[in-house]
Amino acid sequence: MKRIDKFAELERIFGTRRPIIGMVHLAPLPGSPRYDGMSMKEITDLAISEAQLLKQNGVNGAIIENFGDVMFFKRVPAETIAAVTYAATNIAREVPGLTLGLCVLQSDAIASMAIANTIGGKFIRVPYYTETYVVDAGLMDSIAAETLRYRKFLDADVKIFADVHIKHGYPLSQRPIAQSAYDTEHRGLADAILVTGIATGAETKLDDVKEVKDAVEYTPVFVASGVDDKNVGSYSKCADGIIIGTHIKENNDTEEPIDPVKLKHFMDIARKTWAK
Amino acid sequence: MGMYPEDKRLQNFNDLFGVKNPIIGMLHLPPMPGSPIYDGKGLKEIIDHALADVAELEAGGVDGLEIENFSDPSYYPQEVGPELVAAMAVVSDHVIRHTKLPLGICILSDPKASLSVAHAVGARFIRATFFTEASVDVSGLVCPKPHELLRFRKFLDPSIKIFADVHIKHSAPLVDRPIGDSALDAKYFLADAIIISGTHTGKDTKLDDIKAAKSSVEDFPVLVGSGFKVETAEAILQFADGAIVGTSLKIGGISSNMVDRKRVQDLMGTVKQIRKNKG
Repeated sequence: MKRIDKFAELERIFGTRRPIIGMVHLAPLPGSPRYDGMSMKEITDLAISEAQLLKQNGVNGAIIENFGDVMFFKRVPAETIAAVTYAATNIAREVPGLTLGLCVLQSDAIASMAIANTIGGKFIRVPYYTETYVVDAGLMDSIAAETLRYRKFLDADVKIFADVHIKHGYPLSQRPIAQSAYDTEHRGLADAILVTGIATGAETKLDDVKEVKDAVEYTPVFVASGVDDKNVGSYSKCADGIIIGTHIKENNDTEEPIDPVKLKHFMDIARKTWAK
Repeated sequence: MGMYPEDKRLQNFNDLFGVKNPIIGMLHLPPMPGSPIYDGKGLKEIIDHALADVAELEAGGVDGLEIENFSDPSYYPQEVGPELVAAMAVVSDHVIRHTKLPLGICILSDPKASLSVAHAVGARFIRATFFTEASVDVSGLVCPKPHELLRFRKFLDPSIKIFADVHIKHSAPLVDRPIGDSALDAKYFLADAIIISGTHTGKDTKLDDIKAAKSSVEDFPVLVGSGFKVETAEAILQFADGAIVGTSLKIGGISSNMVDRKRVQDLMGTVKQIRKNKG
């Protein structure tokens, strides 16, 4: 069976085989517990300015995420789909040339796929993709089979970036991360595999990244939490991409806006130590 | 009515459109992503189609717009898929940025999705094709949940108006009861306007039905939802407070065609004369 060259696909989508992707965390959206009545236009304008900062500093892509909507649904209702779509389509229009991905939390890959396909997004991040996890919301079951078929139904040119053993989640079966990654590659057919630390912003163990990279055969591996100016270089040999969020924010606080000075500093370092 | 110490719904309805007897032009969208006859070419042509119709309807002088996934039969009877919510949000956002007219959303047949999109893009009303009582339509039994819809609106955005169909086309009420009784229920159970239609898209709405509904709900907005055209406008607006118009404004009077500006101008000319005569 002919196999897709997933590294070539990264290059097609991001213009590089070693992309740096930044998070665009949306403020609490209409209907969510912490929503405070901001109009969708205000919420979207903030997100647009962050996406612009990422692009100006040479970040290769951005993931739009309903980060402010804690406590998350496993499958989101229509008001969240409408709100994320509104934000995403306006970001796509105002920041042309920035590759966009979607992550609808807690792990609604169907909503993410629908929105990405609608607004020209090129990939989705799926926090709980294969196997079962115990999370704050209870049991989080695999959504891989549905997601792959839904992509086919929509005929969507959208890649699936899947986490393994993600932060905030405990795999129900306690097995090595390498085995989970292998299944995500061969059964889940993920286009990239993401490795994280224990929480948003927490450092990803280098050993975990190495184990996953050794276990998979033909799938790019990303470091997806806790990447900062000090550790980015350490991942350059064993990982294919990185996702940054918390450590380019003011006070390293995920809830704060992106700090332009920290972002620029990070990218200056990354140019030397990561994308050499 | 007890629940509305002072029922301002007719006034609010007229204020929304800035005129008595407003005419709302339909934006019938081409098949949307995921629907059975979608062409797979993406949203660009759909958006262009919608914006072309917006331009014709606005130039022709209509008072409001309603956007609808008209070409997606057989429609989801209840909850629609996220691909449709997302696509409707994007197309509606384009429309709203190209018009000053009040916009309504109609996602067939999911009024909660319609409210969600309306709130995200800033639309002013939704059309709930089923609101009160059980009906039978092509997908089987329809049991709308006005209790949920009204609470969801309160939760998400109380400013959005709900225009509710009564005995809507392409369906039949499960229990055969007078349309006046059903109209009164929709009013009593907090719709902001009701819509009376004929048996199918483009078909005449019976004057007797309009009359019965209006005499039952009195000072409360009643819209006609099918068959409004130059020839029927005067008779209909004797009783109805406005109309939603699609088919008769299309090239050749065919629902799936583009809007014909000349037809819009002719109809709106007639309507303006009727408004003048009514004083």
